[in-house]
Amino acid sequence: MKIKVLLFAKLREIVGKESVDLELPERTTALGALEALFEDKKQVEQMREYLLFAINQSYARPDAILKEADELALIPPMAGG
Amino acid sequence: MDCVMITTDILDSVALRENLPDHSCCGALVQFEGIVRDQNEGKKVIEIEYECFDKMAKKELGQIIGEAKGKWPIHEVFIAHRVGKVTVGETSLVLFVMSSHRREAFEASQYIIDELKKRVPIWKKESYEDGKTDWIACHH
Repeated sequence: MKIKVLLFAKLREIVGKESVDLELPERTTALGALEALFEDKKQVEQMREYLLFAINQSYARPDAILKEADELALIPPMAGG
Repeated sequence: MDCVMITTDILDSVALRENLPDHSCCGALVQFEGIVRDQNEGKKVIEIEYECFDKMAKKELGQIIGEAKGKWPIHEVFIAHRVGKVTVGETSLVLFVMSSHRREAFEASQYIIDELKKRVPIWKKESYEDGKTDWIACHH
């Protein structure tokens, strides 16, 4: 299945893109998509400590299962106001 | 009607207030403005660049307004957040809450701002006097 990952703030700068299209096996989780995007396991472990996930503009748990054409946003620590 | 606005334009709170609907039942209007200050954690700040996940930010702000209206008898909420580069002294956020009496407007305003900082996908990158920049995580 194909999904789109949206990147913001520091993460967008690290990757150098606002979004990435990923081809993933069926029933991949939000965390699984993060692991597919960043192969470095240590980097993923660090990111898990502060990143939140949102699927189709709603917050989701790391173990939430993705569907075809989902939009997964990786949300670094926020600072509105 | 409640309103949520995300804009790159300068926020003029006087002009925005004129657009509030007339609620003759409201005896209280609480106005909050977030302003870019010139220092953070000992560093001299020149400007802040705000980035936003627009669609989700509007959705979350709408939810927060709904929650506030469930908790307090408030009649009108208006929120405008500026994005892009905002220099020191300029307004980054305008909030109006209208209600019959002051207490609920004060309490709802506090709730809305606290939740905004926790849940609304907006980020800020500070630029400092020495040319360096840093993405800020809000703990306040």
